[in-house]
Amino acid sequence: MQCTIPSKYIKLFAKSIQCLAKVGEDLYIHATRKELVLRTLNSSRVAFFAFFLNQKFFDHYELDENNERKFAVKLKSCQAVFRQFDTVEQCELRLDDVEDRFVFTLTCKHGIRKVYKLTYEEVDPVLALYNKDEATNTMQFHSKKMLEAVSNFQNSNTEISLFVAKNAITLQSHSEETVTQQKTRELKTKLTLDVADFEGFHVGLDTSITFCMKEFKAMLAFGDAAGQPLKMSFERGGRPLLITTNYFDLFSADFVLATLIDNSSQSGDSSRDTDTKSTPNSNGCSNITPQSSKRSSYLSPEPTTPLSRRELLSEVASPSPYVQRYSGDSAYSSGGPIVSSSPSVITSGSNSIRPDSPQQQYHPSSVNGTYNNVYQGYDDDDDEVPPSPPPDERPNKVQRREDGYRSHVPMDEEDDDDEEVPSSAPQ
Amino acid sequence: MSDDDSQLTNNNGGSASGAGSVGNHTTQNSGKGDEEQQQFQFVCKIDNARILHNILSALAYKKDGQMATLSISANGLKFTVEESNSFQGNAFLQQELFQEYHFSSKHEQFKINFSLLLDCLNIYGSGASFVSLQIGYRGYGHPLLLLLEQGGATTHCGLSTLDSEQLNNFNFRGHNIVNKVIMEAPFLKEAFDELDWSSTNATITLSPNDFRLSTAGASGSCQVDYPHDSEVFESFECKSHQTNTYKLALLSPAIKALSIAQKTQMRLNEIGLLSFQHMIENEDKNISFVDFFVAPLEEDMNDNED
Repeated sequence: MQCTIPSKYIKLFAKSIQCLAKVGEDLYIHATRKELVLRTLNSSRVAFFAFFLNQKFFDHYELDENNERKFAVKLKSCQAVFRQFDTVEQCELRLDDVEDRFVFTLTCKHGIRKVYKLTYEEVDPVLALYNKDEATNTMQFHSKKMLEAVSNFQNSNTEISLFVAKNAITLQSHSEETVTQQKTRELKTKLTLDVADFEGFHVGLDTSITFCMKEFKAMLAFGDAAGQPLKMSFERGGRPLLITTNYFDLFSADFVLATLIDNSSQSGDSSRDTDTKSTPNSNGCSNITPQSSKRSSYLSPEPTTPLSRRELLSEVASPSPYVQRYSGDSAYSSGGPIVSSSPSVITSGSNSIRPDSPQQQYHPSSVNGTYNNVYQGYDDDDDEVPPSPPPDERPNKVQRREDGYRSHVPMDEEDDDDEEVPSSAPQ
Repeated sequence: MSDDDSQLTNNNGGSASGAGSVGNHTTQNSGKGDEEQQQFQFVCKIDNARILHNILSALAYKKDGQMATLSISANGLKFTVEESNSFQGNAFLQQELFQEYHFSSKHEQFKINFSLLLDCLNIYGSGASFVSLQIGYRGYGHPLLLLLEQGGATTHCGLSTLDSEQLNNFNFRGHNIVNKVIMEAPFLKEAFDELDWSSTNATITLSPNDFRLSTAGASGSCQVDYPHDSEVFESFECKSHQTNTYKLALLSPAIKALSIAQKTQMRLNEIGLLSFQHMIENEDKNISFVDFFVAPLEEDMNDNED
């Protein structure tokens, strides 16, 4: 596989690598006949970024014998390649099977030539399930404005909430007040934006979503570099926030961020219970929430849980063995993560996994429902966990709190005890 | 006077202490009395201590506790830092740099705490006004005395001296100098910055056509090529193709020093000994040199691929 990036797009490519590097550790590259796809997933599996570079983006794009290649490299190494890209005149990417390296060859000013040979791993890419058309709320904006707005928030806020109503958009800092934290030490920020700044502003339902700030900022930084408007679409808390941008037909990017399940917005769900249960994953539908809402009816009211985010990005359902079977060496599919998903989810998940499905599920690694775990990376130490949930969890939809699985949102009003659930340890 | 002497020698390491027979405390920049001067084996005075600090910081590669050997001669001061017999850095402070330089014909050499010396030189911070400096040394067993003054405030420092070991003489010129390259410092620094600093070794290859830096680590390898006719070279002389590997940790002081230098000359002799000569332009437009020697790694019999 070999391709050359024209000098005018080197900056864009470098910025996309830098953006991906802020999010995840591994860069999953999928070279198809039509395009080169770069994907990454963050360690806590709440953010998934994908860049689709059409072959027209490149000066020269060639696959050996038209074979698709799928592999992964370390983002840190890629980032080092593009640390200083202003003197770069030409950049060539090549998968060298002889030396078994993924090679970046940069030709720079003054005749300087830099060659980086990175080790790679042949793995299937990690994929997220999301549906671009599903959203009830959409809006378009330019990253500059959003960056300015977000810069008002402290860096210590890991999450930010976006609230939209027919004619109001508000950004608010989100705090997880736990018993241990002191409520008095927090600075809450609330910022209202003018609807006029957003094109294509369409709000189906007043809603509020909360998502992680760091990845959002990384995405905005890229958007700023690309200079194109960003289109945001979302439904409600618990469903993924999808932001897309594209550079004519050469380049498009999808940024998927998981959102916290919103306490107040659960009410409408039960009616959509069985909705997408059997929707095959290959459609890319995120069909999880309905599951969770269904599940939720069996759950005792509990505060917001991180699970919703996980659910967003994964077909939580499938126990690892299924995924393992089809996902090859994907790091994310190995053992641990999934575990003890809710029974119903499991079933639906497994139904839809297909070997030839272009998308496959990846799943959260943590079983622990504690809020904090969401961002601290789902426990990799859960890898030891046996892939399939213990039999007794399967049969009925009874959710056991002990497994710390919280996907549910209390039926009652939003209360501030979003504390972590004293969840039991994961198995 | 001797009382004052002992007061100073009692101090361990450096001290910004009061009393001392190093000149007058009250007024600025007054030289030492003749009488006192006789007692000193060596005295020198410079109006802008920042120049010294700038040059010497090229040798500072450790955060703390770095030792250096100071050699006092008729030509000037030479500070030397060494590491495991494979690395040496030298900073020359020629006597022309100083406003006054009284050398008593006794060549002195001793070790001092280099980090502490730099801290003393920088004691007034990096403000705008000049800091004047006097250095005095009475001889073996006495501390190295520094008197710094800025805007009426005086600081006396006494740095304990240690016996110095024989300095390595790399005898660079003992073997033919095979390759010589003069480059602008920022370019070379950039080249090294591109390398993967997590690897332990860096390989430098010089051939008539190009100059190549490469590293190999766990995550892959990186290589930067400079063709001989590139504009980054002020001069490029290569008599024979040479490849040598050096420990990155030993190269790093020389690379760090590049940030202060304007130009550097890299030379390789037959046995692969690498020498860097950094040219630093001082605030007063004088030129000073700092050089580094790095010994190559022995050829490894086993190939480490990957």
